[in-house]
Formats: sequence, structure tokens, C-alpha cells
Amino acid sequence: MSSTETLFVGIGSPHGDDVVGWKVADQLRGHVRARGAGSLDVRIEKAKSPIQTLDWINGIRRLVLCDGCRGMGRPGQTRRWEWPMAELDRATWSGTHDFSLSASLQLAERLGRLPPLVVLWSMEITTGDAGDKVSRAVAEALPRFVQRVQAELLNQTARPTTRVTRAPTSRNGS
Amino acid sequence: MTERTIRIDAMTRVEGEGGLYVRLRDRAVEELRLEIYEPPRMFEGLLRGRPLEDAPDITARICGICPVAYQMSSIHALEAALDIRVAPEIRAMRRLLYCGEWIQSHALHVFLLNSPDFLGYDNGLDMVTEYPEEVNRGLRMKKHGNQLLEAIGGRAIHPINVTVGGFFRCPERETMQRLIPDFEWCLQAAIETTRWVAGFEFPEFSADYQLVALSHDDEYPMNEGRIVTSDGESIDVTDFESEFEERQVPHSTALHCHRKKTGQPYFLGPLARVGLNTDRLSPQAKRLADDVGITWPCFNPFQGIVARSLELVHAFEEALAILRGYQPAKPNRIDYVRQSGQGCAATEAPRGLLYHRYRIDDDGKILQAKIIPPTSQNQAQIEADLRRWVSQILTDDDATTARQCENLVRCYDPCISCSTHFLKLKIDRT
Repeated sequence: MSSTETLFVGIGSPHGDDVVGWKVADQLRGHVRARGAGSLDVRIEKAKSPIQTLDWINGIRRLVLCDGCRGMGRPGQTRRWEWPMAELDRATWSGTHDFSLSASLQLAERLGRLPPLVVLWSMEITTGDAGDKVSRAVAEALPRFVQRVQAELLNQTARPTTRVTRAPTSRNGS
Repeated sequence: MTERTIRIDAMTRVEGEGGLYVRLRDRAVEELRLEIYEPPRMFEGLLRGRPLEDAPDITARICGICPVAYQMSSIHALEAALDIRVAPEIRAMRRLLYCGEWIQSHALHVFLLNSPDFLGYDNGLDMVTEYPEEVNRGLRMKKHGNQLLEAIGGRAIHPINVTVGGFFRCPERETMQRLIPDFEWCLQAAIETTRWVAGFEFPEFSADYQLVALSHDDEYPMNEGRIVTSDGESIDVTDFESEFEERQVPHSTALHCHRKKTGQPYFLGPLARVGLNTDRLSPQAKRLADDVGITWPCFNPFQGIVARSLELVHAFEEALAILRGYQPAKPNRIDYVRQSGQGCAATEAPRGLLYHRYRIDDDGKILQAKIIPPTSQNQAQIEADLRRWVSQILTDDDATTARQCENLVRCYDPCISCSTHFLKLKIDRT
């Protein structure tokens, strides 16, 4: 895969643990700066809302997302998901005022714009309000988390382990 | 005699949560309640005792879709209390901010919340497969509306750059100029959208509504004007509370509003705004309004989607005009002296007229705040509409009846979270 075919999007905000997606994006960019563009062949973006991902996904073969979530484990616990993700709606994802992560991915899929491989890395967070600091649990888990995401991105031969299926369209009255 | 109950426990594709209860005796509606059960949010109490400067950021938190309307209404009301007049450049920036909010809110509603009702889908996601071009168009318009909000307000949701007297900072001219090419595309997309939605099949359903909206001699109403009605009244905003009243009803945490002198409900929002201000639409929006086969003012709530689309055209056209001539305001805000006083203001939120009034003390602390959101004002009219609508569309299939009730409610684009102080449908048939 070339750099134009892999997209990493860190989703978050500056508030408390919700910054985790941005922190991972920053550290990946730092890695590229330190070791040269060839070291990590990926476009790295930071998003405030998951729907922004649709701005960057045309023509990519692999999408790797990173976001904070709640309700899926202990603080700092990380998970790797592959689309389609039946459990996605069980978690509470950062941000409530725009398209949710699940809705954004479903929308992209229905529009035929979702790449063959979509991976979501999540970390359980505890803080996310204005003025909050990053919690100790998240701060301690972050270095290892970045390493795991980086390893994912370095694996240029990754293929979906699950088959992407399009949900059936329901049209009322018929 | 048969009694039948239809209940929608949680209405979909509206902002916030509410339900609808209908009890029928034979085929007549015996009782109908639009139940807004979100808890009261106490914003008016929260503001009491706080510095007036806190009001814009606190009131913005009332709504994630229309924060600009809340913060700007508070600012206008507080500026009235402090007798502040802002420079034309500040005023133009505020109108731009309104354009951004109308664009992102209207685009979301037209494409993903309301269109599925006319095209026969359960939700916006389901229509994507057959209407990808339209959905992409809506998403792009919404995105650029958000970009405008970010450029002026610092961020798209709950902007942080507005303050009493002006803005904390003004964006550079270059930042604003960069938006122009996308807005030119969006203007054409909004025109196509209006033609598209005007071609939908609309139910035969209208009433002798009293339409209520702001109106201004020189411009399409956003943040200033007199309150006008389809009965020819022209009311100063300072007389709002003597002309309109809020009433508590047992089944709703949102207050209902009526005209004080008649006790009748009234109708706010894009349909009222366009109907009462057709001649002040931007040139392309005006030509389109004349061309879509609707006589304005229009009294069919289902055609609100056409009015909302016309306002998209207006918002892009007006935004482009301001963007092309934009220069950062100097100064970006004017100083003022804290003093006691009282002021009120009404602005046009995406869903309709929003009223704020504040009383402040010598130290600039808020002694009293009153906020009357548009959905709260529309509630009594929605209930009145539903009574007639249920009689018109009632079948033996409760699910179909419930869906058609939701369709009507969605035409109002209610923001339940804002109004609490919305739909599960239950129909009781006796």
C-alpha cells in the first residue's frame, strides 16, 4: 500500500482524556518527522468529529481510526476493532453533537466510500469535560497504545479479517 | 364505542427526546398529548447571579445545533440593557455567523431528517444508496456551514469567539476569502436542492395559521427586526411578553405558548419567515421562491422543507456577499461600562423566533433571565395540527398512523432539548 492508500484519523478534542486520538496522531507525526516520511507510509489527520473522515477517504485502501470511548472496560484499556463492528453502538464515543462514529462509518459504507479495511483503535477514557486533565490511567497506557497503532500502520499487507457486508436498505411503505 | 390508543414512545429524527399519546373514541381524537419528558434544564436559574459576560457561553450550551442563536440572542438582549450599538462590520460578522448556523442546521434537516419522509425511507441512512448525490450534496453544504462557524466562532459547535460588544478576535481576510469557492459551489447546490424538494409530493394539509416571524425593512430577518404576523400585526420586540404568553401543561416539561389576546397558538420557523419576508430574500432565493409553484405565504407545514431550502440559498448568497467584501472589524469589540438595566432581544434561530430578556444590576450581575425557545413556542401549534392530521390520516394500522404523525412533527424541525422547560406515540382507541 502507498501513502495515499492508508489514512489514519485521530478523533478527539482538547478536553481531558478525549484528547487521546489527537495524542496518538501527534506522536505518529513525530515518528515520521524523526525517521523520515518513508518510515511510516500513511496520511495522518486529526478530526474533531468522525464525519470529517469522509473528507479524506476517497481512494484509500485502509482506514485506521483512533478514538476514546466509555463503557467498554477499565480506564486506559485498549481495543482493536474491524468494521463491521456489531459492538460499536454499545460504547459511548466522544462527541454527541454531530454524526456519531457508527453513523459516519455507516454513511460512508452506504455511499460506497468505505475502504476494504477499516480498523478502529479505542481507549477507555474517564475525563472529557472542558478544563479536564488527562487521567493517570490514560497517560500511562498511551505509550504502549501508540506502539500498537504504529505496528498496525507499519503492517502494509493487512487485509480485512472480516468481510464487509452492506446493511439492507429499508424503505417504509413497501 | 371503541377506544384505541396509539403511542410513539420516542420520536426519531428530531433533536432531543419526546413522545406522542393519542386516545381515540371510535375514530374521533379524544385526547392528544405531545409529551416532552426531557428534564427541565434550569438555564434561567443557572444564569442568575453570574456576570453578564458569562451569558453567551452558558446559553450556547442550550443547544448543539443552534448555539449561535442562543448566544447571539443573549448578547443582543444584554447590549440593549447596556445601550451598546455595534459597528456595521461587527453586525455583518454576526450575520455571517447566523448564515453558518442556518446552513449546517438546515442542510442536516433537509437531507437527513426530513427528506426520508417524502421519499419513503425510515431514516437518512436508508436513502443514501438510492440518493448518494443528494446526500453527498447535503453533507458538503453542512460541512461548509460548519467551516464558516469555525472561522468566525472559533469552533463549529458552541462557538467561543462572540462577546457582548463584538468578537474576541476577527479572522483574517485571507481566511474568509478561502471559503468563497466552496460557498459558490454550495449556492448552486442549494438552488438544485430547492428545485429537488419542491418536486416532492406534499399532503393536502393546511390551516389558517398565524405565522409569526421577525421582519426588517432592509434585510432578511436574522438577528434584528420587529415581530410581524400573517394577520398584519407589527410588534416591537419589547412588547413580546405582553403579546405572547407561556403556559405550563401537565404532560410537557416545555412550556406552551399562545397569543395572549386570543389564546390561540401560532406558527414559527422557515415557512413563516419566508412567507412574511419573501421580498427580502436574496435575489436568487427570491427568483426561486417565485418559481417553485408555491404561493407565499404558504400555510402547508409539509412545504416547510421548500422554505428551509430557500433559506439555504439565501444564507449562501448573503454569506458570499459578506465574504467578498470582508475586512476584519477594527476595533473587534467596543468597551462598555457595567450598569444596571434591562434588555430584551429576539433573533431567528433555524427553527424560529427566539426571545431573551435579562435584568442586570450595577455590577453587571444577572438578576433575572428569561429564554423562550422556538420549539416551545411551536408546541401548541404542533398539537393542534396533530389533532386535525390524525383525523385526516387515521387507518386501522397504528404503525402507519404513528409514522405519519412523526412526519408532520418533523416538518417543524423541533429541537426538544432546547425547549424543555419530544416522540413516543400512544393511541388509545375506545
